[in-house]
Amino acid sequence: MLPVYICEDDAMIRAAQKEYLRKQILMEGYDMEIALCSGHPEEIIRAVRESPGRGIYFLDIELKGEPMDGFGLGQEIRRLDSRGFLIYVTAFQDLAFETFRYHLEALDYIVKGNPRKMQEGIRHCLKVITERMRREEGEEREFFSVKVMDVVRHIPVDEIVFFETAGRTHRIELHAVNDRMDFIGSMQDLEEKFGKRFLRVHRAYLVNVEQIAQLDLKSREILMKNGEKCIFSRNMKGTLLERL
Amino acid sequence: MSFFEVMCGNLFSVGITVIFHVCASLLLLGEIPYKNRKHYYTIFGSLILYIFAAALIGSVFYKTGMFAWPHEGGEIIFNYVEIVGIMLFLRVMYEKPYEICLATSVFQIILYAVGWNLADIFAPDKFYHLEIQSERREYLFQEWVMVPLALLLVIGLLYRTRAGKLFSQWEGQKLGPAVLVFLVLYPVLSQIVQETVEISAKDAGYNPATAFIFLLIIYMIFMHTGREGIQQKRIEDQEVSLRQQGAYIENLEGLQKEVRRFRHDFKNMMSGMYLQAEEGNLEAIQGYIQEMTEDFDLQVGSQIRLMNQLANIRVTEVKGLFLEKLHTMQKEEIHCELDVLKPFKETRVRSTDLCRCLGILLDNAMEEVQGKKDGRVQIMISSQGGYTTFLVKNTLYSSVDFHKLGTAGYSTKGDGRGIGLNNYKRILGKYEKALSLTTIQDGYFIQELKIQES
Repeated sequence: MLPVYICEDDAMIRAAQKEYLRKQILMEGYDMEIALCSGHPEEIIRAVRESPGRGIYFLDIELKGEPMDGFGLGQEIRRLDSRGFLIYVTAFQDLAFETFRYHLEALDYIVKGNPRKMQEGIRHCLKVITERMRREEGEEREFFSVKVMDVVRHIPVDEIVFFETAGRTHRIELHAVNDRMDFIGSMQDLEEKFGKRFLRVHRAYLVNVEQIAQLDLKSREILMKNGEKCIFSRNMKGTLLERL
Repeated sequence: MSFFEVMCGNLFSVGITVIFHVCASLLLLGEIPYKNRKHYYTIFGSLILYIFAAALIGSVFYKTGMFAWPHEGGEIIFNYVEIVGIMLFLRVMYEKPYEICLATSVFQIILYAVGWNLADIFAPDKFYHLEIQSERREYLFQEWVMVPLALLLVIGLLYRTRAGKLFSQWEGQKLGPAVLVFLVLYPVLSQIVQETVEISAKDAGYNPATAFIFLLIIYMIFMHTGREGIQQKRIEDQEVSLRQQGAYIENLEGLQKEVRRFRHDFKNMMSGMYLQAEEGNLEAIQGYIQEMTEDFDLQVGSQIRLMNQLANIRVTEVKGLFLEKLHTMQKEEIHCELDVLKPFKETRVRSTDLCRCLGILLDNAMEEVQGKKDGRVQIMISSQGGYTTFLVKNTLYSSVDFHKLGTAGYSTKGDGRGIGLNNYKRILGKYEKALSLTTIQDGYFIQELKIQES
């Protein structure tokens, strides 16, 4: 059962949120329960610390008279619950949602002030959460997690096309079906990490064997499934032919 | 003295000189940009090469008697060898433009001359006959003990006066050809000055005053160009702030118009609401209130918000860029949101480079959504925890061929475009602590630029 937390400093709005959430959970038969409604972020943090696990959090951004705002609270919660669902309930002008999504992986935001809209938002969020939970259950995809400065990215391994080193720096460029990103790392580590599925076809390239479309032996080029090309060194020819 | 002996002695002396030049360049130009083993090897290799080349040329000059040419001809030629050598070495080490390397090289040669002259003040006033053992020893003591001490003093002075800061000020400026020519002529000019200042010093071959005079002149040039740069910057800042004020005023006028319109609607709504209240129709009243708050957010709130976010950008150049781009987007009716939660005050990437990069990202996003009805551009600037992130996100309509992205001449927007991202990659390549990320996610094209500040 997923615990739901509400942090909102306005008692009236808090009560309205709680009431509506309770009704929705009951009506739709969601596997959730309201764990705590509070105007104090510390209380929320304490409660999460005492019963660790994945939760749903409806948070106000501006918390008057409190030592932290919604952003700080979100950071604390993320530390305790890395996979929880954060939803920000906020007045329009406080909104900086891209930042919240970027740093806290916030799920969504709801603009308060309009009860109908707020209810609609809550309904939508609960639906998205249950859908996402269902999808995760069936999924056994392997991800490659990489730290890029202050954020961590997860790329499905089967979507990675190849890694490329950029000259003399430790910068590695990851080419994936939907991503293209730089990170600092070492090819050797990657080679060890992925083992047989990836081939170091050249000093500068580590290629996902699954993503190879065809070889051009004459110009020593590999054409990848997404249309990208990379070269391979002479002594890799045999190994490549063997693996394909 | 055999050629071999001269060579050995020279190797040692040039070695000391090189240590001085490395220290001086570290103080003037700052840290070495690429910190990896391979780069260090290249630097070290080029150093060794330089030491050998300079020592060899020096020995040849000595043995063939070129150092004894009239008007110190051999000495001047050797000076040029040093200038070119150090310029190339600086180029290898920092990969800065040649003119910067050249100017720095000349500056260092002058500093070296100053150090050398300092040491010379304490030396006996005579010519050494290197063929005589005792005089050679005296010469070597002078060359290998006194000179290094004096050079150490110069390095200490450079460090204490934080010369690097001053140096980096004009480094961003473009050096005029006249300044470059003047710098390059240093060895010749110094000889001329020497001979005119004190004709009797011709025999001694040097005069401490010349190097000092040159140092002074060059210091003045640097101060001048540096100050010019500061002035230029100030003018630019003022221009940006003027434009910004213009935009603010325009915005306020727009707001006023909106408020006036809203007031008009508001009056109508109020009277409608009053009638509904008289009839006791609660639902209709709720509907009115909802409509009103929404209208306000839509018409007035979003403008206020945008201005609030813009105020958090404290880097003038970047703010100017955003003002311009936001203005264009407004004109073209592109829906745009800007998030700057915490003030963005500074960054390690040079602001001209940063503006070019951001300009490319913004233009890409704008071009993609231009003329589309539900297209939107979302921008985030986040600076916290020692990192700065720029994120530009736009609705994606065309499919992006990732493998062509970043190659010259490719763009989703037809032929002949797409030089942008290629440039972007090239600019970022200069900075080891700036990374770029591109993602397609949920129908959005997301471009990110991350900079590590500490």
